[in-house]
Amino acid sequence: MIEGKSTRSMFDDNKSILLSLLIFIFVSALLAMPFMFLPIESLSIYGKVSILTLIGLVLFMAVKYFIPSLIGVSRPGDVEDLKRFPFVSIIISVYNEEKVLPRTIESLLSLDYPKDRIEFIYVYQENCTDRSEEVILSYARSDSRVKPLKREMSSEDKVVVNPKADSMNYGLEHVKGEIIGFLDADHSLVRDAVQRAIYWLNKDEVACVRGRIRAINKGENFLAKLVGVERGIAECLSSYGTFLLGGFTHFPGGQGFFRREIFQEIGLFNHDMLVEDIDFSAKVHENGYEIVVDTGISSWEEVPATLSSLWEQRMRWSLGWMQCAIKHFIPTLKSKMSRSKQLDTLFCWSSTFLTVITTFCIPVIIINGFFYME
Amino acid sequence: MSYFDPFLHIFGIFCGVTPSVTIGLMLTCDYLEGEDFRWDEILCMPVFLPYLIGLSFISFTAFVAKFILRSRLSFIKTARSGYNEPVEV
Repeated sequence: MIEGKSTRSMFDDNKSILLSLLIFIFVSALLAMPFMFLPIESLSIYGKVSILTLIGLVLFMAVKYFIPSLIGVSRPGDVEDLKRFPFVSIIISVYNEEKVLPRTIESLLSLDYPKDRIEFIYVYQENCTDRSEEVILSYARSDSRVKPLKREMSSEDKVVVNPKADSMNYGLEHVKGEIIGFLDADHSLVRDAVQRAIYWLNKDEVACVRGRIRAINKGENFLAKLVGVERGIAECLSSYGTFLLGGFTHFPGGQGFFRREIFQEIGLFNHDMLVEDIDFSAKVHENGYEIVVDTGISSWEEVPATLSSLWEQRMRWSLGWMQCAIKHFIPTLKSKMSRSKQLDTLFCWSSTFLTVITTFCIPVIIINGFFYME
Repeated sequence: MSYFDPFLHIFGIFCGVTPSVTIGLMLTCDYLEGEDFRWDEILCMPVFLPYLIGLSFISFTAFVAKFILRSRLSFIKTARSGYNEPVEV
């Protein structure tokens, strides 16, 4: 784990929030003023161009995510039965997951796949402070498919940005499967998930298969329901539509299957990246491979149910996407991707920063649309 | 009246209703695939747009933290699944 000054809640370290709020109010007010007091015709040509550019960006982003959502309403059908059952290793990184582990392990043990052709490697860190180890060991004693793997933490391991990436890499050193699955410790998979994934991975151009992630705790409160709905749209409609359109699809970290040789070819997960999954997805595409989205492979995860946890999760994602955008923008231009995928990927990198600009514009456009109707 | 021309005026409405439309799409598709219709998720429709604008604001804050304040934020996992905690490194 990272050693540093812990900020226990989003309100403890509020400098960036406060500054963002001030900038947001100031810039939004500046942008809104012409619409409140002046007819747009009276603006200078520069004013018109800047406002129309901002509006164009919002339009582009709305269309970029809305069109794939329309296309993503179709669902993949049944896949062919497998003729061969390759050995599958599923790696689950564990750090203080005592409460959710039984559910996850039970779901894996009931997967529809030959028992002698699959193993579940639970990589748990030595500094777990709850009963995670005990839970894993008790299942391992009763089922040989459950393999506990304790990860010792050196002083160097404790200062990496993303220890989960190291856990996944550590698990990779101990697998024997041809097909490697990664699962977060709170995920429960549908029974035919592995068979569906292998069907896709039999195609040479496919490096990774990912499915649809759904919220298991949406009944907890209204915020969890809202986050669950949003994740549902992003994971199911938008991602699947993007895949059908040949755009930039990504491995979501919580759930995905790979061919083992991919790691020998393009390397391991990078522990310096806040979102190791997006970084790895970019490398997959840059090397000319595909990431298939099959919404038939469902898994259920816990989504944030408090404002502070949602804030912290999305801060990590936003910072991570910005980190990836800076790292991968030029490699994307030089990559082996198809032209359309290259454009979509470049747009994804740009949109991490476009969101920052359009944040100011969205309220102005919508207020105008709704409240100034003739 | 609108200060925008008709196209941009309609676009404003489009931006406003798109998120709710996608919720409807997802619920309908899942229903057609044989799942129960999740009536409770319809309640999310009216507040989905402000929620998305809120998420954009988080991205903006991340930008301010990274590029203006130059803070070296990272995150550690808490004892609950899916929950992270920021730390300054």
